[in-house]
Amino acid sequence: MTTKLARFAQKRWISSTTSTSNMYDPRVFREPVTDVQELRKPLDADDERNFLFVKALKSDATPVFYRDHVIDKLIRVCTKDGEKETSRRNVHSALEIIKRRQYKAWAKASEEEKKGIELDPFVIAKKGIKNCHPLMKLQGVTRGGTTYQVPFPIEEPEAEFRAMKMMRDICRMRSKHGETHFKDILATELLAASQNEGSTIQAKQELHKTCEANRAYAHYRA
Amino acid sequence: MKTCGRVFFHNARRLAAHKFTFTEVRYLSAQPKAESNIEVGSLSEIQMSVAKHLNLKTHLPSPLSKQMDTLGELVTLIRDPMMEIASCMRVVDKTLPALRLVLWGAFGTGKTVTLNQAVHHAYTNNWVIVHLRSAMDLTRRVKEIEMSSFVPGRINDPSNAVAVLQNFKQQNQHVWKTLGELFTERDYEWSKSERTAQGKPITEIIEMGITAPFLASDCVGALFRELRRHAKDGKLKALVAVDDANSLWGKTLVKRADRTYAPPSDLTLVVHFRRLIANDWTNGCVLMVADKKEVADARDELGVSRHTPLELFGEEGFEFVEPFLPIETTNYTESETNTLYDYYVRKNWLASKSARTEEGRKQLMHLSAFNPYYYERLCAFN
Repeated sequence: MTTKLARFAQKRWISSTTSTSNMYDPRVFREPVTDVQELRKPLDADDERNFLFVKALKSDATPVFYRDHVIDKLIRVCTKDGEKETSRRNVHSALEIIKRRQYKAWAKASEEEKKGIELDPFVIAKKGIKNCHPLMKLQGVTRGGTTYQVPFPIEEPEAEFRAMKMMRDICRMRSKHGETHFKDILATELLAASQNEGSTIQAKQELHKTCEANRAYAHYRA
Repeated sequence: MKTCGRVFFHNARRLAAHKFTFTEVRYLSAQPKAESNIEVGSLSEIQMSVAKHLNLKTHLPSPLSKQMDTLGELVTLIRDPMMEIASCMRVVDKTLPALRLVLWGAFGTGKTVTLNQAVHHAYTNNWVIVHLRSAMDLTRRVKEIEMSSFVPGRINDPSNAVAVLQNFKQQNQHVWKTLGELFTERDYEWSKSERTAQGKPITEIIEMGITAPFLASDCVGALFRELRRHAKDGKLKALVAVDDANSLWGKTLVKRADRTYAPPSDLTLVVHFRRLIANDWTNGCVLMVADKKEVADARDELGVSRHTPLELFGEEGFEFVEPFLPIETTNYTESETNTLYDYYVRKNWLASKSARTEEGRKQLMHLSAFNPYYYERLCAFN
């Protein structure tokens, strides 16, 4: 019972608000420098960090050589119950699986075929996510007591987020009950998406089709 | 007796230290041929056919066996512990009691890999190999139990016993013909109908155990008994390689009829392996791994358990395995990481551009903190 309570207290239940206070007082704390090259240079004379405090480096901002914006975002999107370590392990294992599959294909291929096979899992994952970016989004708009699904244009970062979220939901749906694992499905999905195939690409096309069908509601925007 | 043993091991170590050529009469191994191509700090390849023959896929740690599958070759780094084992195996003799070595070290420093390298070394020298994947299988992964008809109170474990025999058969195909020419010392009456007469080849015991699982546990004991006897007579040299050997004195998950857990000394297979570890026989080498997975709690992420042999074997086990030569496995040195890095680059295994830079090489080294396991894990997705 106590453990159950402790668990309840640990995790964030339903929270729709942004935090109002922060351990870092915005008046005296500034963002840290995360780039190593930048760090070696002296700060500008008029930089506030010369005389103010600097926030601690976040655990996912360490300057490791495999730091990658898309992969980091994918890790954040796939995180469940705040277990980012687990999510990181999952995503990195998915990258490993992609690399192993590609390496096996590469080892078997002839000399000229080898040039066409991409071995870097980061490049494949990025290409896969890029291919899943939707062009529009659907948002509910209530007019006269009826909610219409109205297509809206989206910015690049949101498109990236929605692509990742679609992929994550599909992988989660399939990796149930420990029979199949999230990392295996994510690897398959990323590889397929990098060749414009797979369920996530299908979901994207489905979304585009619905947007097309709901074109008539476009005037409910704004 | 104990001090006497210590003196002997001291001498054995000194003997092993300088080059030692023996002109022994008739061993299974005609010449110690493999020693010349072992060089510390070098990468050595184990042929895939040999790896298959020795069933290394199941005996190696899973990341390495996956790597073997992906790269299509098995290349391992020869490190100091392996050299020490090789030099110890060189002094093994008919007159010396079985040499006991305990591999110990922190997590991921290569205890199991070194054990497998030693098994391969034994294979190249035509030794008989008794290789147990994990002693923990015998104590914690017991699927079915049977009460022993041979000793009251003992618990047989047919499925594991068959696995042990099958593994022995697979790994010893290189000396199978010679094993077929060695004969049993006495009559073995397995049951009312099954028996192996005196003067039959000892391979018959193995076949008997594999075909009749309910006899397999006793067959393992008989086989080990015969192996010890023939080793003493100088007809063969044997390497006994037991991974997680401290589990032979650990906890068990086998329940008796009164629902209490049986101690490991009640399990037939454990008893047989302990007898093999006891150095009352000669002309063999017993290589054990002290692993902390026996005592460590997998869910406890904060506690750090000890990994030294005394803590892991416990007092009873330590008393039993003493005297032994401890061999410590350690983290990589910088030159060793460089060797592996160059190998990965050569094989095109490090795929990302950033990992192939000088910065990437340095970061791989320091992010893994020179630990072989974490080094491989980092290289796996880059």
